[in-house]
Amino acid sequence: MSEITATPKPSAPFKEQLIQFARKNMGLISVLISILAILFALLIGAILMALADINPWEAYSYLIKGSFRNRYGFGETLTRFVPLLFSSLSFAVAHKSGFFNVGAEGQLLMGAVGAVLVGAYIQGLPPVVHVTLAILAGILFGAVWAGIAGLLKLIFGSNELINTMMMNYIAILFVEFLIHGPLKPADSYLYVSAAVLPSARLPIILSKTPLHLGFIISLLVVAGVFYLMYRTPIGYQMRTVGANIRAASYAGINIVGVTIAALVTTGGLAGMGGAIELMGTQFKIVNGFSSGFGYDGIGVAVMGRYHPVGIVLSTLLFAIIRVGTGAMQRGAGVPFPLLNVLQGLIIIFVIASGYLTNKLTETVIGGRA
Amino acid sequence: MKKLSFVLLVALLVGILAACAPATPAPTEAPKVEEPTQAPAAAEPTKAPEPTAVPTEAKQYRVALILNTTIKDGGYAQAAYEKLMELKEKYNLEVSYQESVGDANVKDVLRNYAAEGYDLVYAHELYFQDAVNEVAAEFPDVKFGISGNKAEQPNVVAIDTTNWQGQYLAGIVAGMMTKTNKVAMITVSQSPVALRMVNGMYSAAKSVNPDVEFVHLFTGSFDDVVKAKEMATTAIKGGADIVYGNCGMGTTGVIEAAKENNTMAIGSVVDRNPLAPDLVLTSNMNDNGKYLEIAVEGLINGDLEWGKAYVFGVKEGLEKLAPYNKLVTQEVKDAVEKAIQDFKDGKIEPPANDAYLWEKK
Repeated sequence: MSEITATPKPSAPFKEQLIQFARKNMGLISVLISILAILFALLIGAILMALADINPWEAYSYLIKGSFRNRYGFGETLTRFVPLLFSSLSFAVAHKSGFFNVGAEGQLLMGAVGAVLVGAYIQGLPPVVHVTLAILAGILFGAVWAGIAGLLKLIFGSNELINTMMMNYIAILFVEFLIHGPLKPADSYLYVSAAVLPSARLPIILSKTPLHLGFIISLLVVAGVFYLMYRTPIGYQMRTVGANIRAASYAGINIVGVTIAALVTTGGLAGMGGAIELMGTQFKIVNGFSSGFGYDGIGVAVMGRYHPVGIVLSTLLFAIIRVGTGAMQRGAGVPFPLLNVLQGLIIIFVIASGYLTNKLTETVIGGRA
Repeated sequence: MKKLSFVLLVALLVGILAACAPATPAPTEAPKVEEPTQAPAAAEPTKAPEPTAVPTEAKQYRVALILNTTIKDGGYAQAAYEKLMELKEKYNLEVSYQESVGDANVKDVLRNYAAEGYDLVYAHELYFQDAVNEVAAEFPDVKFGISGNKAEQPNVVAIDTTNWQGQYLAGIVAGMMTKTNKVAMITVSQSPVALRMVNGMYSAAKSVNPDVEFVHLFTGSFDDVVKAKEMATTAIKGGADIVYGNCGMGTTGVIEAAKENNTMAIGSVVDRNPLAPDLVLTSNMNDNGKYLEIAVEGLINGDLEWGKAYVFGVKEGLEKLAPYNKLVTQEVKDAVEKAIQDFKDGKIEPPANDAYLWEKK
């Protein structure tokens, strides 16, 4: 009896020390939790592969080799990086501004539609002007698409999570309709859109790879978003609204105006991602134009703790995984459904780890990170 | 937090550079190893390559296969995959495949295989043909194959079946077997390829049964089994007593609907009779695996003309009917035999592919 009551006593200062340590090193701990989450997902994946008579070591070696074995894989990784980065930035800006935008997939698609309209149908422009206009069209279409869900929230108070998700399905089917009819070139019997003209294509920046100028643009955009969110009054207001909408209102911030600004940014970023993916690599809209970039962006943003620098790192990781899973199929013969499971596991664990980190931060610091 | 993330970013960038440094010579290295063996093969396709650097007697060819559904789809992709495994044993090939590749990603997959020095990269899907022709221009030393009809580069071969002659044979069966004079076809789309399929089957049925009527429904998807089943059920409720399914994995849904309503069905691509032995009259089979065999054997024997689109049909045996079930009468079988002979004699013209024949009148 005395032993049982005696044990918690010396641990009390120890617990205090632990909280102190955690408070100082919350950043490090959150990174460790994210890495552990991925390792756990890979571990479960390894067990599944072993059950399917596949050597997990060999398979995972291809996960890395996919991106780093040769020049092409490296370029491909950085190319995959671009749309993922845009969609995760889009999600992060929305999150910081207090709403949940799961509609990046649809906004990205609509951005591609905007870009194809300008890129494929306006002729005779010099490349710089044409590229700029097509990207602006992508931003506009993405922003308007996000704006619809945002207006529904502002006017009717409807849940933006459901609205943005529903808008994804509308966008996917709308694009399918477009490539089956209005945007399909007359001489093509495949269901694809017209291709963007050479003057609206982004140049390759690393020869013998698909890496295009969009990569540089995307890094500039990260810097721009960082500046907007952390160095400008509107960014401050957006973050304040996101942190506590009542306090923001009490402080005299124009909630409607700020929300609209945040919506335009989040939708515009996703739309820009779609435009750049179109003009840099795919050139025409095909069925399944976005292979889940919008959804993966959520996991990327959570793992990057919604911070531009964190997002760059986690996007890179997800791009490596995306390219690597292809190499796992080609090199180690891992069946596609198993890879789908693996990617799903990684996303689930990463999002769960984000939740865990939030809980931990709340108990340790008494607020959100 | 900010400091930490900066440190991490630097660490990662250094890591990438470090990882990149040994990797950069790799691509220049890999093709060089392949070049001495590959160059003679490309230059003198009629002779077996005389290896200069490699001591083994025969070159081990490396063949890659790209599929848009899974290797267990029970049809198109599975046929190619099984052929790949058969050819691997037969010719001691080094093989690799990637399945469930989307239209948006196929260029990356093609380039990856080409960059890894495969001798033949075969894309087994019509929708990949623009991508194949685009990527083939970037890798003139690699041979590409496409299950389609577009070979715009000198290193691409396109192989396809007519995609209507088999349906024509099935149409004879449908036209003679239907009692309600109503036949429903469920395909994936309304593309010219699908329209020619429908018109092929319709014109054959019409030639043996002037009263026959056709309904054409399309699912818009290669793997939507539920939608295919619903459409077939609707058609059956609408009076059709034979349903024909040619919609990827959806075909099983069509036959499922026939089973539930005790209605006759005709399958496609492979023999679908085992799904409902009493009801599936026959299936029009496309020997899709044969495409890959033609390309691989063409590569090895050098008797294929690259830069050309080949189309095969009933005459070459790539399109045929599966064994009939017990409902099919001898009279029907004879009529089909006659149609096969007509194809061999070149008597049957391809039907229109821009509109339904029954709407044209």
